[in-house]
Amino acid sequence: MQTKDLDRIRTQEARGDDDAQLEAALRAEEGPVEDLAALDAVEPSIEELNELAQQSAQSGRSTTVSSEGVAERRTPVETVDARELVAASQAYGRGITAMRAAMLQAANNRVN
Amino acid sequence: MKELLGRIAKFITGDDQAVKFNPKQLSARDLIRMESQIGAQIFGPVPKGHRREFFCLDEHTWIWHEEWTDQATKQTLSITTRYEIRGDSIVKVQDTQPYQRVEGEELRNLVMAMQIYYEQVARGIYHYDPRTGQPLPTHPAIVNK
Repeated sequence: MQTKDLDRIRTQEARGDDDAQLEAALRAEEGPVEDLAALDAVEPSIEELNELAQQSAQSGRSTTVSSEGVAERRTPVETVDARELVAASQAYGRGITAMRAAMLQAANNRVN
Repeated sequence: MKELLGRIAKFITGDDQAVKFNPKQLSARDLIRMESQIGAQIFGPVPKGHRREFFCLDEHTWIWHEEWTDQATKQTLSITTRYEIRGDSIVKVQDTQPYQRVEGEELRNLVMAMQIYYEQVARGIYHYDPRTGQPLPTHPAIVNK
């Protein structure tokens, strides 16, 4: 393996501190939330948390070295699964709300 | 926070477990109450003296609410958890706890519960085939033809 490959791996491993950042950001959200308006008010920072979460997921990738000595970063199966699961949850939510809206629309049409 | 979430869950689903269904005065709240009755059963039988709600509030929000009476103190206790789908993650908001990302086994179990909820609600309330998205023969639009 060449020196530049080792340097690349070290750089990639050094990025593994995202989990600590995420943890700190999550803890910063601690504290009483008085009402829904206050909940809404913290949303932008939660979006930031999501960015951190994405970065964290990326930092969770393992660094491997191929037979050619080229460093690669691979996404562990669990990370892929998590993204698929979240995507599925979004689809279920969309499906439910769409069916609900259709039922309400049909009911309104009957009344009118 | 805890009381607020509990009040939201109770406001939406009501105090009584029976759903009064009147198609002429149907509201989103009525539908959520009906869905929640299905959702409450997904995690197994509700223990005697407990009240459980699990429902999809909107496209990005799911609510779990459990309420029971402590036999020793006769005090009503409750836990309300809100799951928010945000981008590539699900965030859990529970009582006075900080926001937490749902991960690992908890994430798998939660999404499995959502899937069962979706399938049962689609069939049982909205009369759609959850696999194809097509109306079932019991769908009002087909029955009333």
